[in-house]
Amino acid sequence: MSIGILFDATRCIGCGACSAACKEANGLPLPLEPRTTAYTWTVVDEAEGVNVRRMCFHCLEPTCVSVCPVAALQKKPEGPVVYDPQRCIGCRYCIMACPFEVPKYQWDSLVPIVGKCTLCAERIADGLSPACAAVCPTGATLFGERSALVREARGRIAANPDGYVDHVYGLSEAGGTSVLMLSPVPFEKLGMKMAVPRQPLPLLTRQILSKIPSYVIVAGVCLFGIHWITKRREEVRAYEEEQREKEGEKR
Amino acid sequence: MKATGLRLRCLLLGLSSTIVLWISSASADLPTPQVRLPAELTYGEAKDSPGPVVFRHETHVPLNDDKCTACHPEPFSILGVRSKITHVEMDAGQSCGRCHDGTKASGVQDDCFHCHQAGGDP
Repeated sequence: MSIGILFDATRCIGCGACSAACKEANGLPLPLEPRTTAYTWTVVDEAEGVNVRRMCFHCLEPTCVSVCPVAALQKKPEGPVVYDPQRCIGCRYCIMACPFEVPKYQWDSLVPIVGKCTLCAERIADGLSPACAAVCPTGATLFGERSALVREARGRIAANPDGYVDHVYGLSEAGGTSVLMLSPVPFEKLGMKMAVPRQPLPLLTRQILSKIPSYVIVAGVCLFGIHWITKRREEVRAYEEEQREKEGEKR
Repeated sequence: MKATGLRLRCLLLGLSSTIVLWISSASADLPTPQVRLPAELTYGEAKDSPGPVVFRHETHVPLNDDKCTACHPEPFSILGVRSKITHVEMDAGQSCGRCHDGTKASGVQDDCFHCHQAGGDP
């Protein structure tokens, strides 16, 4: 079962309950900053008169997970992309790799770690919904099974084609994400990234990395062959020289 | 004559409000989001308390510009962790006292029965 969140911008009133609940559930320090930081994992922004949440999209095939050299970031089978600060070496490759610019670094800390939404993986494991979805007073943030949320999103667009942009953000962005969004205005006007590739980004590195073993084998065989030929040539030359010297002695 | 005028005025008022309602409902693409506020919270009485305090979101949310962040997660938990509220805290400007300081809102020492009344309207 793959779970996710459906955020419907038409239902969001910008009350900030999600941000407050996120702070409390994750024990993050106040104040509530106006944009996402290592200490504020979700905020509600306003653009074009529409309230829009900023949070981790929890990609189905996350780039941050694929680039992390120490596996500090991991995609759980249920959906959340979680982070283990004990493993993190602070290389910040995840920050560079994320197509949505989600992970943030504790620049002000002496022992900094990365901060990002974890979809309340611990609450989900306890059978609860993520804090933001649990407190949303309008149901703008809906938690559930991803396939059901996709159906719900498509149903809402079909029931009100004039009220929504005919696009479910997150359905195919970066190969699909666990967080889906609906909007009454074009997503680019909400500051959403539209140039995100439609295929999973780890595919790019996988295409190269999967070929490396065969390259190593082929290159190894070639180099050994060259070495064998060169060595044999040296042996033959030494033998012939020896033979010539012996012939010279005989004469 | 007077009664007719009043009736006419009532009729006009009724008609205009109907038109306004009709226009506003026609222009809206989507129904306005239904806000589901948490149920009222009753705080039990301490030994010498004049009565329990019933807290209602309905009377507090609009005053804070409809922002939940005015009171959550500090000083009050949003995930339902209930804590004891004391006058010592409130007098020190904590808890309810953050707003109920006598300037922003009625003070916590002003009138006991502003808050302490079962089923009252704090």
